[in-house]
Amino acid sequence: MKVSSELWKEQLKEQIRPDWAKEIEDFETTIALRTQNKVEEKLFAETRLRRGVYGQRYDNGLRHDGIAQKTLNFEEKPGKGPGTVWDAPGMQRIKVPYGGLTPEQMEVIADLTEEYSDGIAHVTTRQDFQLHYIHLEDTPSLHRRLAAVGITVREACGNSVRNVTACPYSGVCPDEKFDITPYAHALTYFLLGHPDVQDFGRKFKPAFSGCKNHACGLTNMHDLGLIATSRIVDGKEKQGFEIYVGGGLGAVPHQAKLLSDFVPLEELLPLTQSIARVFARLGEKQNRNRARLKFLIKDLGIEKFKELVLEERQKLPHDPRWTEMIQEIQSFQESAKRPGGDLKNIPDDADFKRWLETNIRPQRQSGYVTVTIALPLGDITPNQLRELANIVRKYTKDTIRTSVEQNMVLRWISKTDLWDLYQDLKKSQLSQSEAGHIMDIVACPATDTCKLGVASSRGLAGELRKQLAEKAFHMDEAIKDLHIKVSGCFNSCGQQHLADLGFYGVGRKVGNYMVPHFQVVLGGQWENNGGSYGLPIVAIPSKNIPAVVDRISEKYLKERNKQESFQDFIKRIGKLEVKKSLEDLSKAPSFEEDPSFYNDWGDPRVYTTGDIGIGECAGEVVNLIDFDLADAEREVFEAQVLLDEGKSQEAGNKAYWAMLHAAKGLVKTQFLDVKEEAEEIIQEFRKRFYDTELFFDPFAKGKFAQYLFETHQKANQSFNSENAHHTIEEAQLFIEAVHACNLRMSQQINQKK
Amino acid sequence: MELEHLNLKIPISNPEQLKPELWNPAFQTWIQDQVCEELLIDVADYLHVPQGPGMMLIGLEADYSLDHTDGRWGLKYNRKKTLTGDNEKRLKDAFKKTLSACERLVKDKNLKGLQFNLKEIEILINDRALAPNTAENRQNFKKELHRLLTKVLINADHEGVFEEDPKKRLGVKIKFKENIQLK
Repeated sequence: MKVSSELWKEQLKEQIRPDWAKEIEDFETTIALRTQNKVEEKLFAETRLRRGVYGQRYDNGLRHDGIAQKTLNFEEKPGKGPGTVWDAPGMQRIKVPYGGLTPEQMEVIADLTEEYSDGIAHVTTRQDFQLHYIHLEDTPSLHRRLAAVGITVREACGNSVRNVTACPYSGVCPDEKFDITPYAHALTYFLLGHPDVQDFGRKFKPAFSGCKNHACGLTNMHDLGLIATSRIVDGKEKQGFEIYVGGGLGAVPHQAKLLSDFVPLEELLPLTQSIARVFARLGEKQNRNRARLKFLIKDLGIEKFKELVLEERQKLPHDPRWTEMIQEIQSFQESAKRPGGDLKNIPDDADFKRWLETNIRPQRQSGYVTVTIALPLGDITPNQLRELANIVRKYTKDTIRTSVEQNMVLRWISKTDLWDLYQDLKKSQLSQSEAGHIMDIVACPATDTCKLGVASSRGLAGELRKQLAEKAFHMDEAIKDLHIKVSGCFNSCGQQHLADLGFYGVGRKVGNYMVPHFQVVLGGQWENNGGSYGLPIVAIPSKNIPAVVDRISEKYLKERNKQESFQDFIKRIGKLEVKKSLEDLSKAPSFEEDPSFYNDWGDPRVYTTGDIGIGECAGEVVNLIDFDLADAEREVFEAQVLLDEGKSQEAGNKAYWAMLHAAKGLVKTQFLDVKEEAEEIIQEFRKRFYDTELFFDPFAKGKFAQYLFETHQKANQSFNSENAHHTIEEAQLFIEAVHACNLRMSQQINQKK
Repeated sequence: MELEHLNLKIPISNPEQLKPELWNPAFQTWIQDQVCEELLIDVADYLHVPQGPGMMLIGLEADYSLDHTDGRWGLKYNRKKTLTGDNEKRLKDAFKKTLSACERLVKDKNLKGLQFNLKEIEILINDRALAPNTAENRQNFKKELHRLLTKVLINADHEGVFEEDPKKRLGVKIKFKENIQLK
């Protein structure tokens, strides 16, 4: 372990919530156990994914260097997931609920970016941050430093509830029904680590929007979409949510379906919990390609799904947090730091004026505006992050948000401050105009770092930005308003289905070579929370995509009817017509004619799809009991360490709880709501597994269960080194017996199938 | 003070002639030939980010980059894995790696004309736990660095300007009287 890891642990121990500190410590132990081959590889992969520690391209130890596929000579060690080399650097996703950050958190992300990554903090299309090329050994320190400023990476990846996203204008948008921020916060922390969301077959993405018509929340493409609404009840206006379920992009995008047109605020958490339970119970677990909620809803039909959710709601044991969390609303009321007013005497500065046109949005509070900081491809440097943190302190009450367009949004900016703010942003090279316009291109990481990337979306986006910037001065406003989104493969992380001009990477064979191509996706709607999805019309060689953008936009400009939107224009002329107009661009010249077509943007290697690996977006399907067993095994290992340190009492207690947790895991296969109380775990275990003889080993019968019962009877005993040692041994045997019982039960289920 | 994670940056003396995009194929050939003792993995292009890490050669033990983070172009060596040995060995190793990289780049025919200013270097300790940027640490680092440079370099006469912003990493920009030459 690095010296600094110990130092961070010591320095930050008072600043981290105890439960978060415990989680990080557990993760650190799990890493150590995996190095000793004491944790199964697949389980370790899902464990690290649930802490946002994600695989990256080339982590299978292979890379095509432009000449041949070569082995990267990493040291031979146990893998950190199937087909994944231990030492290969990976990505750390940092969950940022509803995109909300404080200056202190920004500074910590800046420090982590400098010390552990490649020096770039990347804002994602789901308001997270991602740091790349992180070493696994650094992750516990990284997690501690984040936890010390109130950020947990728990469930940032894997088959879990992903970041809860929300409109970055909530609370200040003139068109919203009400500020959804407190509800996004409540849902985040209610679901975080909740037992009902631990057994999904795939990820689950929630999103909030304050209104129906804008795009900021993109609720239609989420597993759970929540739109603020209200209705009159007994003559009074009552707030609530329209709830949509089963949306998603991916290879085959699905629009979310309306589950309820009005759910009162106090029902938000229990209803979501019921949805999660139905998904966990009935969602596909084996075939990851059909494991998202959208497939379950497709199979069941929305009415049946709704019926099941409402039935589940009736069965839910009451949880006081349902309403407690909602009562904290007042603490989320943001306000201005500085007096509002109007911008008078606008300086004669063309760049500033353009920035005012494109990056400023009115707030519903008079005298204030929001300011979007356009980040090139979602990237920001540590120095910029620190300088931006100071700007946030200077002009706001310490808040900023990330956006799904990979930008950052300042709120509550007094109009009187705009010129000074612009100057400050300019000093930090953060005053780029064109936010939300054609040059502000959204792109996923793709072949730069993603294992699934087929073509370079960032390379293409960078090239398009460059070329469009050169033409910007003469560009018609109608063109400037278009949205471009690029994904490196069909998985839609770049949200290409929602753009005016969307692209996703595909490979095509031309002669004896592979050529990077992009499918051109048209017909998507960004507004109305991602109101409709576009479809691919033709694959074009990557190097011709800038020409495609030019040609389609020129055609639109020349042939559109007055005030006709781009979507209406495409609809009117038809995709066939567009496709025909691109026909000549769809052919790549031969290698001999123009070899540049055989490299991807920003990558001089001859193009190959040989580097594509197995993605980790889906996580590993691990049964709930496997996590409990992993916890139990870790605890029994920790008991040994304590015993070695002469702490017999703590060692004995730890071994006792290791047994209880293993038993609890087994109980949860039948009864999910078992509490973290020794007496209840014992009772349930006895009733369900001992009295029924389900737990009985064919030879040893109930012997191992007796270890648990006897230790429990002596729960308050004093442990000396001898009886602590015995208890540890018994705990290990009991855990093995739980494994065996679980295996027998699985075999029986399979035989029945 | 343990110098486990050092960053060394040598500025380019003729940035007006620099073509940053050409460093990508240069770094790609380093990977093809695995020219260093360190394992080289991939190239990351961040030229679109103003005053960013520029063009990076990502390695397991260390990254090399055409860096522009302080507004000056230069070759940066960023040691990520712990440098072993005592501080003298660590600093000498880092110097060796950085200077070898500069030499290799100058010899690259595709980067013809590239020159480094070997009378200047920036040294950062990339570890805020081991070396927080406090006045006391700056003083200690100054003494330690003076001692180490004298041991490592043929002519170590230098002047250094330390980074005083406590939020930034402990580091110093050094000007030597003569070109850097290892003993």
